[in-house]
Amino acid sequence: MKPRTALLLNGSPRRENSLALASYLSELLAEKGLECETMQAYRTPLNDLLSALEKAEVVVLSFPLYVDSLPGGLTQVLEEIARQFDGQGRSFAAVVNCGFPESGQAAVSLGIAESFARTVGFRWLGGLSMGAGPSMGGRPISECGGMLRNVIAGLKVAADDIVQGDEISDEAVRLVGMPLVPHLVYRLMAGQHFRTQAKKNGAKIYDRTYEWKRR
Amino acid sequence: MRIAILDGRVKDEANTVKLGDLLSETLRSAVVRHFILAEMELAPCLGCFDCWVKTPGQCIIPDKGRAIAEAAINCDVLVFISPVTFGGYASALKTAVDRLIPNILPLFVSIKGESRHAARYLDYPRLLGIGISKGNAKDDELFARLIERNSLNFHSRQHSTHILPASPGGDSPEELTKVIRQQMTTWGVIS
Repeated sequence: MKPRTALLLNGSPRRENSLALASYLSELLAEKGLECETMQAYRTPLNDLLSALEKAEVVVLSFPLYVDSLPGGLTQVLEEIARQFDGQGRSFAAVVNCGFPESGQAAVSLGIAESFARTVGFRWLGGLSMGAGPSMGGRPISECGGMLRNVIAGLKVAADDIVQGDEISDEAVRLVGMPLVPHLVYRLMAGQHFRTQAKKNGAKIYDRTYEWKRR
Repeated sequence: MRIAILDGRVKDEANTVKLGDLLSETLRSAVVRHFILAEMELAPCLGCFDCWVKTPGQCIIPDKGRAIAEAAINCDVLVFISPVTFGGYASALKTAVDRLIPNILPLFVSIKGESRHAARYLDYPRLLGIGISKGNAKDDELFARLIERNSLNFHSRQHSTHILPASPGGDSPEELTKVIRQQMTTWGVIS
């Protein structure tokens, strides 16, 4: 069945890259005629979340990869939803913003998102994972330029799937998961970004604050 | 011998509270730190990265998350206990685990063909994951994969996962002590 309403949930405590992914998907779905709402999973009163879920025929959760899975604060929100909400008749998909260049490192987190969806009774549409997510730098996706061309193409395929009421196709998963830059380049660039930040703060990046006391 | 237990179960007198004491009594030479996370109400990680670029090695949030991160690096065996929740950790444990990232560096290295955050310390503890099953085999398998992934990203020397049944007493202090002791013997850290 084709959905008429969509809820895009930002599962990050920040309002940057995971929100950018959710907002871009929201634009794509709205263009195809879906009534869309975008909401923060964090710090939104549970009742507001539950009534937004009630209205949505398809829910897309966008979240950053935190230590191989979903952020702890988001997990707490999902536990509450699982206690109080029945997803029967609704569909659920997930998008991961992965800080490693290999999008495949988010596989376990997508398994967890799927398990949540099934536990609540949603129909699981599938999950997308984007590697090197911080490359977006908090910008809207449309402003990120050619680096994100495959991600954008993949999100468009995924949006078409969602609009048709279909599961997310392998093609969308493949495109969104393609490397933005070679992995080595990302490792160096991201490392340099953190070095520069630490230098600006006059902080020593290698500090062993809790030095190993066992020996 | 130091053991740090991050316990993500609901606080309950019979099963949760007694674990630390029983384990200390059983392994007399060990220093056991048992964190009952449900009663600590740790603030979730803000994703600010200050622990990497402002106060490297320490979280900016001044709550017990700091003591947990310190205990989690200064131990020989780190134990995660949690009801298997959507195939992952319950939020109490997950929130604590997110607060452990000060213990690694922001810089990236490639290990076994995958990018990881480099080690901040010379040595990291072994990781023992104990999941209390809800009877879903697929979720239990995912929990074990999560422990394995965490062991890679936290540079654990060794790791292992045990799934316990949710049946009454399945996660009693006696059962958990037995599992922890067995695994430590297998690793050769106790005889």
